[in-house]
Amino acid sequence: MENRLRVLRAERGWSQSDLAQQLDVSRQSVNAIETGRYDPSLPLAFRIARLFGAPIEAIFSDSGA
Amino acid sequence: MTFHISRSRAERAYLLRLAGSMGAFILVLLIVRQWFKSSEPPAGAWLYAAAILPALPILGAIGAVGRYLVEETDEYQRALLIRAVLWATGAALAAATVRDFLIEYAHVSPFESGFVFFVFCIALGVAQVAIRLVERT
Repeated sequence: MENRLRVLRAERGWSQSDLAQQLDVSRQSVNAIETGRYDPSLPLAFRIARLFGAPIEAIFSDSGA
Repeated sequence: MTFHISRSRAERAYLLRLAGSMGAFILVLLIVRQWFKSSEPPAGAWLYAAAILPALPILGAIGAVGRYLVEETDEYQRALLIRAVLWATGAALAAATVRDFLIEYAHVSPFESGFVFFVFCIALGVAQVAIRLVERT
């Protein structure tokens, strides 16, 4: 799965730590999601989408599609 | 170069419970060993109770791992620990299997009590470090 998390975060000038704090996860988690090493669960993906005010499909996309 | 290790509340509670269990294990083991060496070693029902006593803190340590998995709200950190626990469980199972056959057919002397748990702990530590290193690459 691919995502635009790094781009969206950079647009807002947030560090990984800033984003991690707002999502109530560790900075390592944000890094793992951004680099595609970890695919978040649906509840966390919804939390990310809500935070950026965008639908999930605008942030995450199926790389195999 | 500075290293900053941030730990979640669940992880801090886990480490505290684990340290408590290990401390209790050493204390109980020392007391029980003294009891068995004393002029009045446990007998009857007390024999079984005393023999089981050192296992209780180990069960507490295993429970602490399980409780951490329930309490950790960071799903990525939880996933990493689950992977490490699976590796450690596999290593402990493999070690117990080999030990059993060595005792059965090679008649080697019985291993120290807590051998399987010791293997589990070592494997858990190694797996956690290895998984973190792989995740960084």
